Amino acid sequence: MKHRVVITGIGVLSASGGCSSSFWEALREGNHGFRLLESVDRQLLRFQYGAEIPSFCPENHFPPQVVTTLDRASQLAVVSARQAWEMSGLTLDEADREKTAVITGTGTGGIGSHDKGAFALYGEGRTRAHPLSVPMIMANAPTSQICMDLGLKGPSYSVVTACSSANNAIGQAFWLVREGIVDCAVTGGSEAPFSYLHLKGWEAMRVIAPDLCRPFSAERKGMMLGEGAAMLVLETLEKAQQRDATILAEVVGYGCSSDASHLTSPDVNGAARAMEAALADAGLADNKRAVGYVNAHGTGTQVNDAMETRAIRQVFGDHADQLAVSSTKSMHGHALGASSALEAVATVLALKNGILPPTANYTTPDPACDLDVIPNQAREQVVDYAVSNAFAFGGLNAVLVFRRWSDEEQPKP
Amino acid sequence: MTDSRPDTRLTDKVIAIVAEVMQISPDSITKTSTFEELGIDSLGGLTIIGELEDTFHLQIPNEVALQINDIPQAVACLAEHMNPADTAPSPPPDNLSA
Repeated sequence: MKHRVVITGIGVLSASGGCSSSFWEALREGNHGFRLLESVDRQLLRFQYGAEIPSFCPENHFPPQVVTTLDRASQLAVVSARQAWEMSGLTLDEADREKTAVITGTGTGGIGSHDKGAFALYGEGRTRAHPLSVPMIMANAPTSQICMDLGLKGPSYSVVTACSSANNAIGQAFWLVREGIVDCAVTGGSEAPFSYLHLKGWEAMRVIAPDLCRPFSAERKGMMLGEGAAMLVLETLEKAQQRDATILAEVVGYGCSSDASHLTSPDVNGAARAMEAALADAGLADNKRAVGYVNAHGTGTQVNDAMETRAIRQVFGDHADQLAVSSTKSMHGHALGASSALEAVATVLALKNGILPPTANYTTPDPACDLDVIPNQAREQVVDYAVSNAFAFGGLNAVLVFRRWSDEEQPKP
Repeated sequence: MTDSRPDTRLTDKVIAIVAEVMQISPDSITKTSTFEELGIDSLGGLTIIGELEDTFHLQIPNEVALQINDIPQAVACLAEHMNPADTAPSPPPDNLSA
């Protein structure tokens, strides 16, 4: 038996807000979170800005003996998972714990710990690494730390597909719940990309904008990195209704694809196939007009935004002219493996509140991006279905479809 | 007889760097070769530009670097961004000498 899957908890840590309500307020107002980077020596970088969380103090969340054993990516993951778990109101007995999955995504895992350890050895001449180097660096650490922190013992793993990691993680968790393999799941993504090594890699790729991220604008000059984490609690509709949980939205579709063409240059057909697969999974293959909003991958690079516009037109045809499309990366930055988790939360809150977040920092239309991109001002609009896109380096694409929840429109069991 | 004019020396050096970075024979590269002709994609192009920056100790702006698709463009870009007298690469810092 297939189950309907609903979202009953969300948690967020981002430069745009330290919880889901402040995050939503920033997005609704079109306020971006870019600021001068503090965690690295900016004199050594050609770009100076990023969406760095300004006030996250891990000591406020973890005891001293624990805090140094967690890479920042794990710290952000655990704190956002606690937020989501608390919002869901779930209290599990031992049997339920074993039927709760934790599936999270990250692009770079503990790269900050890797960078720090490498500098100690190669730069400072030390001969001993931190004994927890390996478990702090490993990409599955955020998932493992959430499992331990919340005591969840069901099927759990991490998904690493660069910028689509979180969408793939959420999609996998959605399928596990839908198929009845688990009752609940904590899922999302986390990323802490502000390490010197990593930033120099992005600098060498020359895709970082110097000032602001302006997706779909003619003047766009690239992406802006962000850090953060977002987690969602998924559960079967039956379970949520039995315990009278507040339902935020429903997950209805997941699709993914591989470009199999180029490491960094996206392929319009690969992106389109992921969208088609997600819409088919949602039962919307013949009813695409039901979709009213697309939270775009929208990185702000010349190549992505033009490609994504073509892919949306290819999938939706004439309906593309009726679609509202925005890139919230213009505000929370591109948090890589966590980005699509932040965007999933943005999409869920857009459906719930009947307000579509804007593409901030928008200046001049680009004929190559001729979609309704909700420039700069949020829009009051009730939408029934929304799509959230994520396209990764390596050509790995993942797309989710969400449905607005209305208690009045749903039959009680 | 070898042409020792600055432009030619610079072109020869660029060709040598492209050959070394991309692991291809310098004999397969001409003064007018495009990166596409040499089987070099956008990532390879960025790798070459980065190596040219390190070799000649200069910074090429992103919007310029991303438009370089052949040997003449690379040479012209270097000539524009470096000191006119400096047509040969500087020696490496002492601590990097073999």
